Amino acid sequence: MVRKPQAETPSSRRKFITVAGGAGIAGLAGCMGGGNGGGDTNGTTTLQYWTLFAGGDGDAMKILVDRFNEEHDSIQIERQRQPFDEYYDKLFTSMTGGDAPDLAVFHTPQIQRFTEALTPLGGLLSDGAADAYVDSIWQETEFGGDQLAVPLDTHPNGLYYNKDIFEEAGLDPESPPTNFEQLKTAADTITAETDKQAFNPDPYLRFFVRQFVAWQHGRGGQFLNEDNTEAAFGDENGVALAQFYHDIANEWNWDRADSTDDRGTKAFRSGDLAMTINGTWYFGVLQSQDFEWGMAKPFVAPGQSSPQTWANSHTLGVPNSSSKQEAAVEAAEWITQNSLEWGTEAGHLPAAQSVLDSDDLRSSTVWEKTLSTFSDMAQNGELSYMPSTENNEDYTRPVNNAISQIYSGQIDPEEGIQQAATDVTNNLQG
Amino acid sequence: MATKDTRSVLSRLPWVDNVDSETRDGVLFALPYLLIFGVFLLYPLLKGLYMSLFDWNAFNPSQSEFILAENYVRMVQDPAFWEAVRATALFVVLTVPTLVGLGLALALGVSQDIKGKRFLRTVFFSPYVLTVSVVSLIWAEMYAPQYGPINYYLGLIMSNPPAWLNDFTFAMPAVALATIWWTVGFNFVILLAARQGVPERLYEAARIDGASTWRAFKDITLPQMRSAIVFVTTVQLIASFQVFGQVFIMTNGGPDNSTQTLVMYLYRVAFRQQEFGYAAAIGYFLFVMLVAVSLINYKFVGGDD
Repeated sequence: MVRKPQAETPSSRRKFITVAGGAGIAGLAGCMGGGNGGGDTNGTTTLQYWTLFAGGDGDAMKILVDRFNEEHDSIQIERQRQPFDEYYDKLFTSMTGGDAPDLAVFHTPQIQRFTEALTPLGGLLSDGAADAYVDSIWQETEFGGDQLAVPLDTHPNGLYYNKDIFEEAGLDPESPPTNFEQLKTAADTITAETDKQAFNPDPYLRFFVRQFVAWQHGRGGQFLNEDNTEAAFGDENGVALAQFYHDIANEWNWDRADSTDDRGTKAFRSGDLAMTINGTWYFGVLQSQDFEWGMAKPFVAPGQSSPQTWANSHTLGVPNSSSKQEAAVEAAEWITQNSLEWGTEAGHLPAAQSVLDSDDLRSSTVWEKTLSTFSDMAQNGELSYMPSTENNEDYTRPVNNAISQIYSGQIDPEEGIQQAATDVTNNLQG
Repeated sequence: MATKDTRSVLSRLPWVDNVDSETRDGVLFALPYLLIFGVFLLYPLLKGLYMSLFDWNAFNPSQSEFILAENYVRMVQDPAFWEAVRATALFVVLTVPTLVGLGLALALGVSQDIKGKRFLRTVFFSPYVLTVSVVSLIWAEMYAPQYGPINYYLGLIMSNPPAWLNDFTFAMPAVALATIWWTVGFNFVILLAARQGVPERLYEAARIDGASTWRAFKDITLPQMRSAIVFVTTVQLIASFQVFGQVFIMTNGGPDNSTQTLVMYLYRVAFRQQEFGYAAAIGYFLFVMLVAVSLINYKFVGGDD
């Protein structure tokens, strides 16, 4: 049988091309179109909420959002987790592209770069909202007279130590070092008596600047000048600290002279490192380890006359492109003031006074293990926040790079830190 | 006879009456691509040039200030820019000759009559199917100083193996080695296809004339494969000048800024420093350089092809 040719004419092919072309144009229009999805239906306002939380932090935030959604009919939150390392780049792109979320997490030092794109919350907050939060943390979210975010927590650094290694070295596992002299004794003993690494000041080996800023303040020095236009850490305090970083790995052999990313946290979690300095979130990470650990105040650098530790806050801000600002602020207040699990599960110090004072938090494991110490440092005014500049990379990158090289013995400590100070000043004034 | 209603929609436009149907169909078939090309390449290209002349305000573009060539002047005077040029040039030098030479050697080797040819083809090509993030994470673990396999075995024969990705000397070669492992398969496949296209009778004639293996390679293989080699070299030059993912994930530009390449610097300037105008100027420098390098490659190596 001869198959009858189909009636495929130039006209029908062209119709196909026309239709396909139309579909393509429609697709492109879709790509270019704005809008952030999650529109309002049946009287329910759906908020797009961006976070950067993974692991224990991610689990805790999921609990809070799920609880919010259960308790609210008129507002629902769609939580989207973005990768930590790219979070602010993606957020920036979304804001400049007019497709920002309705609500987003910001670390306090990052707010400065987004001030033009964030909604001042003054008229949108409930009456007396400021009184609901720890005052010092609340003030970190005020920029140029505008309240640009609502604080969720503060998450300072502490000194984490492996009690098993302390015992192995013949040290008292319940007496962690509280100053430089005690650190030197303990770390030298561990180095001599065990095959473990004794101490590492930044387990990620790429955020050195955090504790450096705090220790610089602890020595009575300044990191930047008063108006954040010049580096001030090239002084004798900064040089002494640079020498400390150098000596840890190159003189005292407490750690390997190597700043490869994350090496320290792998070593600590593997039970190969006795002491390290890390934030509140380490509680969640260390829960699953099979060694005994403890936490103390990290005032162990030389010359800490007025001890300080690095602190930062997670906050919730509302991009000014959002058409659902009232609902977003309501959600932000609810999440930050109902944040028990943010403490008990994620290990952070809640910024809401009522949560901080609650029996549920104070009777929890995390309170006994870490939060009571963090709370004590907060009460004593021992938290040191990083300066907010137009672009924080202006100082974070040169300082991290310099200390990284000092730590791994590739550059002279004094020259390295002073060159970093020059670079920071150039960046701030450039 | 064709009537108007059976002809293309374009024929309804007055100026199309004089266009022959072949041209019309050609335009129609090219239109979808041209549309995508225009929206996603041509428009950004022109917009980038426009932005490079402004102190661009990303949040409020209407408040951007026209500064003519200031971004380009700043670029020439910016030490970090020249550091990035140096790092990029080093990466290109470390990767392009090796990738082309090794790809050619593997292609010629596998085109011999040897056992396991199919297996080897798969082995050489398979890394190429991985994404840049997977490749970078695998090699970052391989190079890990304390727990990585490379330093574990080196530690058996030496006391202090290098911290590969944190060492001024070794960081870029380490990234280059990972890149070569990852992408040599692409060159290998192209060059293998080109080698298989060389007529065997040419080699037979050479053998009869008593030509050595080297002579046959120099006077038959290389000239016959020249187009493919030029193509592979050009593609490789473009890819290496644009390197980003590997350094971003494996070293984040460090130690210090020794592995911060041009595209990574551009990314930082745009998305971390929020200076889109300056970033666009850097992008244009890279664009002009790539066009120039490609033209030089075709002009001096490509001959008349």
